[in-house]
Amino acid sequence: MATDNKYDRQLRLWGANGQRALAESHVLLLGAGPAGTETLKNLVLPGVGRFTVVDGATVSEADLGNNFFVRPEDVGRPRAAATAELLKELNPDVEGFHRVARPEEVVAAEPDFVASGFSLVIAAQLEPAALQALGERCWANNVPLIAIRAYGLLGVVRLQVRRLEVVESKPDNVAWDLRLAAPFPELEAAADALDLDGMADADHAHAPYVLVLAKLAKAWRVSHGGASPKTRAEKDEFRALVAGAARELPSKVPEMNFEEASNEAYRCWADPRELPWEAQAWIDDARAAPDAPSEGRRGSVGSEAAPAAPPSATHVAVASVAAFMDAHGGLPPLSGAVPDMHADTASFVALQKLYAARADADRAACLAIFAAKLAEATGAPPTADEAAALALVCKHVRDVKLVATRSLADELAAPNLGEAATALFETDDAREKAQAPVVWYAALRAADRFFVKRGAWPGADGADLAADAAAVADELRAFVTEADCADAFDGVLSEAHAKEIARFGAAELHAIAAVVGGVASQEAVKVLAKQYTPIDHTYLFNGIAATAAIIDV
Amino acid sequence: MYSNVDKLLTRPTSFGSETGSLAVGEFEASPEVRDFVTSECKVLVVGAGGLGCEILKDLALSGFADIHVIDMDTIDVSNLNRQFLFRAKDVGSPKATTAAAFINARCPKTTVTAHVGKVQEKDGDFYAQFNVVCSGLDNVEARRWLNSMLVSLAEVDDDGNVVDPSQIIPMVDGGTEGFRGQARVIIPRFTSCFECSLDSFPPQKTYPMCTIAETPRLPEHCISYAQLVEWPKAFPDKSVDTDSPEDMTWIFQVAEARARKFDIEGVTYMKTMGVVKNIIPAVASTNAVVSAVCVNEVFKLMTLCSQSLNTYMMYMGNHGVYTHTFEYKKKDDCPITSARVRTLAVAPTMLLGTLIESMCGPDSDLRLKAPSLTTASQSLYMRKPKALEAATRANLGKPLSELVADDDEITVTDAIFPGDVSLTLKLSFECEEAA
Amino acid sequence: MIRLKKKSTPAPEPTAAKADEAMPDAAPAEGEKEKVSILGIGGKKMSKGTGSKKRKTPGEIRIQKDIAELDGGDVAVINFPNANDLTKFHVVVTPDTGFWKGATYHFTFSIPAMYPHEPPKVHCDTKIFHPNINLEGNVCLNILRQDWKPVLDINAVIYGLIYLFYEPNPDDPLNKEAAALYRDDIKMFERHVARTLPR
Repeated sequence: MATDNKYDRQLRLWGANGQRALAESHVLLLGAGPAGTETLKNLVLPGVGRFTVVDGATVSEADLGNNFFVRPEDVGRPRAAATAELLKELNPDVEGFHRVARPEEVVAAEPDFVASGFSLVIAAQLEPAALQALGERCWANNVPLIAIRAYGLLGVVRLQVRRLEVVESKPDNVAWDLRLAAPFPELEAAADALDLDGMADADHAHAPYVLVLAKLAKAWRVSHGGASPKTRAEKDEFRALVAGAARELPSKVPEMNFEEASNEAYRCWADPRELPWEAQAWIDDARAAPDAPSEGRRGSVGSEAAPAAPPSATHVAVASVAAFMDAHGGLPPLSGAVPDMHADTASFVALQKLYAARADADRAACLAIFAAKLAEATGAPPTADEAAALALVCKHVRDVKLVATRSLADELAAPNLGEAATALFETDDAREKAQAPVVWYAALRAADRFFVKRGAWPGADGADLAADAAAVADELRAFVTEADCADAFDGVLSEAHAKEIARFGAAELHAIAAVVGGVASQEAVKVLAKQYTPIDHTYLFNGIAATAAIIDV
Repeated sequence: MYSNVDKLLTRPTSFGSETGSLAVGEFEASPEVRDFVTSECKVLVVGAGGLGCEILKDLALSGFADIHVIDMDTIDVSNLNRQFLFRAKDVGSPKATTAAAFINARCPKTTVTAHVGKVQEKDGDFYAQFNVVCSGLDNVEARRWLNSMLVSLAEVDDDGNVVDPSQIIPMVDGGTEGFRGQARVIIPRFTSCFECSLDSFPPQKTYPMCTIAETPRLPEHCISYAQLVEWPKAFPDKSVDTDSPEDMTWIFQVAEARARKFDIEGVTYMKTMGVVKNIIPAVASTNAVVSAVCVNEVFKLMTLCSQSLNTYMMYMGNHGVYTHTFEYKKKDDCPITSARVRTLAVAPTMLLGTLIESMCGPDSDLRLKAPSLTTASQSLYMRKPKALEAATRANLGKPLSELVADDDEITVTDAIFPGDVSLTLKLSFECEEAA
Repeated sequence: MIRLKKKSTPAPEPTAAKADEAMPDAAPAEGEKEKVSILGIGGKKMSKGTGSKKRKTPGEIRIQKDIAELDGGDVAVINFPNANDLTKFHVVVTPDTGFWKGATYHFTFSIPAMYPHEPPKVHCDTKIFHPNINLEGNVCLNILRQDWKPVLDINAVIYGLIYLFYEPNPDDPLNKEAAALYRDDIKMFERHVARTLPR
């Protein structure tokens, strides 16, 4: 044991910021079946602050066969109490509460209970009507909702979020902002001071490529009326210039720093004012409405407007960055991070300090704007937390994004099935088509329609399987027709799908529930920590062929 | 109790195993299938860590009653954020026994038998008793060994056909790293195997020795210097114990001093551990997903109640969730799936040189050019380098009975085999009287 | 589908519709009705395994193949302290040209169990004044660390070592003093090497 921190392995993903956000969260679970308890397990283990389980069932024999958080001696006890107890036992850092009540009744009778006071609501196996009502409540109050179900060999995770501010989106490839196309004075001075011709071989082979490029790019601009390489021919010419600046050393070993410079030459014309569209969208939004953050996605049918909430410190920080950019010719604050490169220690450290100093200065300028905005609104200077929020936005300005999904209400009323069904055309293999996740999405919607009409799931214990399958087949046809997609599914959907739904009989297999619980808890962590990119918006796991897809219906 | 499972196993389907692209048998819905799961089927879980804990739970709650688990590790504090069968009081105890005891207490219908030790310590007889193996390992080495063992258990004849189908033990393997993971199905001799995909596992990240020694720029360079250069100087007779706080603190402090000297920022104890132990981030959620996908495959393979994963599912959860399922193709020159076998009955008096001659030349059926032969424990004849050839040359004139035992396997390599393919020679001594 | 007849059924043995490359023999007989499977309920564990027989691992097979093709030429001689252990050997390099001409340098190779997924480990047992080998015997050769790939082999490493004697690289040195002298005063470097040549 070389660490005493039990969270070590996850801190390496979401860091202290993410862990703090997780520890400050309170998660509501509606429905303590296996999908629900598995999701909660994966949130209790990493240290979510609090949870509340709402469930109206009594522990039965069947629970012992698919739910890990009940024991034989719990049979007959309220399932909410038994599961909350065993979940809490997983991690002494976590507070757990429970309430014995049917989730469907709580949603109907106490809409304010479910949609206020919780950081996130997880609805497991909720009946269709209750889920729709809950979706509307959560949307109105801007509470993130994750709806999950395990149905035979099918698993579904549905995220609904109206507006989520993500700063640390942690893209797979870091977009280093090196400012080579718009160098700041200190960078230019350092490049000017680089005497490439007069250097000893060892120093020449260890000059950081960033300075080499800055120097050669400046020389280019001087001889081209101030313009950077633009045309393809000019870019090729510049690259050749960079390659030609390398020295042939006595050892015949090519200079690695100049190889890097050739590879990275495009940075001399990549405009640092151009941000990823998601970042630009939020910055534009914050510039237009610094005090009243808009919704991530507008125009949901029949839903209320979000209640007017004061903007978060993060939103004000983004607005401050927008103002900074307006005052600096569109350049965002410098992040200050520099990638590793072939260089000697002293040159590299000096380069790092150069960028860090510039980033500090930009951040200070942003902070001044930020403080003025806050003073206007609250009359108080920024708190330590608010200043930290500003610093985080400055550091990750290219990674910020507003996350929003389609609302459940929209999905139910007007499913965009056509777009999702394009997956069907990516393969000619009939067997693959039949197992495309979107096909099973449609099949589950048919099961829902069946339930709404009959108050029971197709293929429930004692049901007439053949009759139920026929009824599901009817619902399936009706659903794709109403969704205006009958053509796309023609020849793909068959009676076999309806029969399979009836066969499942809404069985909750533990392995499927565990897949669902894993994906749902991962998305919960992203939403609570405001990091990475959550799904948009439905993940469907097809346990028949072990295929899965994101479906934005 | 298993009423949910029963629905799947006792009702007919149009999507049984036989309808999938990796079909392993024909499904017949009946209570006997359930009984097979709950009273006959024997499952081996390899690894009782992040994946193993999940796999054990998922198997127990899918109805499997006879489960064995093998793991050599003891419980560490840093396991507790995901290995949910362990508590703070269990730190230092063996994972296998602790995990087994927890499942046995929570799921009374299931019996988990624990084996504390390395997978390499068990022999073929041990592995042959299982219907299926589900592995959740954190290292390539053990998986590689296990894969090789399971493929070798499915014996093939000289034409490459499986001799006895009941020797085929499917291996369902999972792996995770942060929010990413994969699950795959290996049917020995039929699908690609772990070795076929070895090249897709990137080797551990290392830094050039000269950068570490002369031009450090990153905290990682300072930490590697402390570990690779300073430690052997200070403790020439002792290797670093990465589980010892004292050793790790020593490396951290030396790295920190070096970083200070070069004005490099960012050496922390946490980073030191990450670099020296090559720590891979691990979270409960990814382990849950991958394990459950694996157990779902085990369940389907054993009951035939649905199609099978053919053969590889990749899961990436950083940005949205990207899942990709595809058939990982066999590698033509895989040393495991493409290994050739030759069974040979020989007189024990045959000289090694005569045996080799019989395999070479245009008229022999193997047409080898310059084979080198070894057994698991000794070099029989090596062509090169010179010293080794000289050391093994004398064996050519010895009778086989002096060099190998009856039923021994000989590994033959030759330049005519592509890639890493070899030939396994299964010798059996002909009885003198009968011959 | 992977379809196998029951054990007692005469040939053709296992056939596979999908995995036909593995099982090229024949398709299942037309109209076959008998339900069969290779796994699960059809595949009871009756047979014994092949016992405790020790088998070569894929890594060991690869080592054998590499070693059996090993040829250091006149410059490198390869010795095995134990002919039955192919994972540990010595390479004695006697450069035939360059600063270190005529001297002999002993390197110890040890091949890890994860070979070729991991590179061989090489240590220089002879003290040497060289820009890329330090006095502790560490060798800075790219393919021994960051540039190792499983397609490389032991021969490639030996050639890499030999090349270090012909063309040392002073620009990314492991022995900074040696590199500086090599770069700044090659005559002095040559004299220093000559003085320190092992005898």
